[in-house]
Amino acid sequence: MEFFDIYEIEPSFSISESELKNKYLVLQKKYHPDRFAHSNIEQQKAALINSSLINDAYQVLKDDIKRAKYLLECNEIEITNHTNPEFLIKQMEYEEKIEDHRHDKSELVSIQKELQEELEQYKVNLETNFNKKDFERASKQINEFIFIDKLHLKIKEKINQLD
Amino acid sequence: MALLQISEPGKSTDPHNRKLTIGIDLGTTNSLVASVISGEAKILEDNNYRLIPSRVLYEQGQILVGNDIPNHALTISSVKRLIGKKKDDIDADNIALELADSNEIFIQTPQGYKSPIQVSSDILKKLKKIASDYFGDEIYGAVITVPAYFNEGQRQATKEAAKLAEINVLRLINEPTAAAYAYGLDSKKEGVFVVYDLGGGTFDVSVLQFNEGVFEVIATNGNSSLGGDDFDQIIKNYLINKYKFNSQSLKDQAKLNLIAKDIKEKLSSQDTINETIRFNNQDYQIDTSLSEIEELFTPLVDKTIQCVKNALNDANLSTDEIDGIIMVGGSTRMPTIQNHIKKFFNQDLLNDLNPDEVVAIGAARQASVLSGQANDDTLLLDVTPLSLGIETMGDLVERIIPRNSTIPIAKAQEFTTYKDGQTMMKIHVVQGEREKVSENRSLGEFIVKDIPPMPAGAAKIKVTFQVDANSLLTVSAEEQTTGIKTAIEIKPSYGIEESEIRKMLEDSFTNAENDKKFRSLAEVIVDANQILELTEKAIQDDKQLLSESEKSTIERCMNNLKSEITKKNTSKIKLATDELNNASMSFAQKRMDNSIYSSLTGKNINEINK
Repeated sequence: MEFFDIYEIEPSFSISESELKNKYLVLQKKYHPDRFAHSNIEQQKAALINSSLINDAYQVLKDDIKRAKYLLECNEIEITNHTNPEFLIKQMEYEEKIEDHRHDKSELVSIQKELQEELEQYKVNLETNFNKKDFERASKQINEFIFIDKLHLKIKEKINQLD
Repeated sequence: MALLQISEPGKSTDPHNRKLTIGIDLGTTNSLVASVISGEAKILEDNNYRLIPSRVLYEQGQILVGNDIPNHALTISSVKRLIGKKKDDIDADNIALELADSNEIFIQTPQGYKSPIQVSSDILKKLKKIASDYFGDEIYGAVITVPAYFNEGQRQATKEAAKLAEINVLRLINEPTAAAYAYGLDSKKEGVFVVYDLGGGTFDVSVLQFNEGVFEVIATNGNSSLGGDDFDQIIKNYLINKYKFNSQSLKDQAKLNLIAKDIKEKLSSQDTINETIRFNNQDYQIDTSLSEIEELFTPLVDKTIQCVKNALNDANLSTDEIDGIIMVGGSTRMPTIQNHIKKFFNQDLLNDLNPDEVVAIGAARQASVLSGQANDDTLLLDVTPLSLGIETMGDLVERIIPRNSTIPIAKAQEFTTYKDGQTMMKIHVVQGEREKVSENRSLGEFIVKDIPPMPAGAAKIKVTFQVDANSLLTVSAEEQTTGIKTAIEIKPSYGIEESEIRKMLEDSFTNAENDKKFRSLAEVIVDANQILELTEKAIQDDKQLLSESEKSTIERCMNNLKSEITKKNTSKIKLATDELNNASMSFAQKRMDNSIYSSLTGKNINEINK
């Protein structure tokens, strides 16, 4: 839970983005190597390590997927690769839909909205399960969440290419 | 009673205790040096010139830089386009310089061959002297700006140049970040800003957030070989094609570059040009218009817009979320650029700062903060422009630090052995966004030795990438079970120090045997094709001398070499050539023996024994 400790926040999936960002800036203002550019070598080295750690923790904590994975890792839960058949079918349907409408921007935008809503729903479910400390169920959901997120990125790229 | 004297916070009253710092904008076309004096950032002038042309003239007995060079003297210019690069990386046709016939880049001068690092260091020495003359004192340290899209090799080479000029580099910072810092401090604005920085030879775009004194780069993109020079080239080619300017020598090329630049600059303030230009004792009547030239510029402008799109995409922002567009670099004065960018963002541009000077001003401010003398709470948070990774099986890159990661950053990843009892592992560090190793930039290789023999997959090698606040990389590897550490710092020219470069250079011109390292790609390919041809013919003529397995080994090596030739990596082609040589050695021996026997046929024993 080192990353949560650095930011002095309770380990949890629910997180206030603005609070995290504020703490990030406070920490960097204190530990960034620029603050130690005129100090001795030892202090400069310490600043490099501290500031790197603050950055690394921030990248993990601010990202829903990375934060969820980190929480599971800290609780020694392996992420299962098992996907239920229902989701596999959904997966294929989405892929086909995107392929069929790859030249139709308005159709792609509406699929993108659909995916965005799904992502929101997954986030809510993950939050519930993490709050209940039901890590097993959270670990099953995270795989599907990652998949939908990748699909969402892919469709965004396709829309950009059509612009 | 005398008034008590109170000094400015953070400033020492004792002149011997003050730390003089400067900011240096080492540009492709012009360089500047600035410093914070009594809380104000000022450009330090060189005999009333604010811009110092990044030109060096090497003559017998003296080195002249910038404004000291007499008019019309042909000088070494735009060396920033060459720094940290290899011959293969550049388009030698567009460089009006005499280069040495070697793999590394060396420029011919009356004082012998000079590397781009040496030329840059001569410019830096001049800038340092302007500052120390101004203060009448030693300079404690400098912040030097580099294009945000400079890769590891280009950054290391710049730092090396500063070292040669005996400058204490407090920090290398990115040009657009320096500009944003100066602009943000002056305007006191907050929000999300885009810096569009088109210089003489480089293009950067950065997306930044200004928030309570923190200047945070969210994403950066660019092209470190696209700048005003390329617009000049377009006009030059236009003059040659349409007006039949006849340029044969390097000197003509250089003159024509200046004429092209002049036309480009005129078209920033007028719509048409009707004038006679005298070139090599011939008059050329030029009648052209801005709209005619602008059309030729479109592909270049589109390239920059694609970079802007990429940066916005990485930042996950759309154009309407941008609070302002800061225009930096002399080339942004071109009306073409102004119009296209305005149209793309659908808003007015921030032109209320001097596009030539803002980078040096930002660097000077940052230098003053870094010396610990300014009482300042501001902070710059920058990112790595390009992804860093290592080679894994099958020419693939495993990315360890993705592009646009906030620096400093450290990332570790574990790797394992591929074979039972494997005791060594090669770590090949690459930079770039492509999937294949060969399509990215190779930064260097090192070997982790003394891995205790274990079954395949049992050893655990932890590879750590550390990128510091200068965006410079250190890679270290540690075998987890024994704690054996190996570390490299990525150095310019793949780990060659400047002094070594000089020695290698001298050697290469005096010692023919020693020039293997300098063999150009072309030569290696010629050799490779020759051995391919010979082997092919030999197999055709004497395949009865080969067993099936020998034949298939040789053919496999031939195919490998053919594919390496298409990839154009000098060392890999050499390696594949050697492999083919080894594989076909016994075949060659047999053929030789055979030909001796056949030439002996028909001669009697006595003759042979003579």
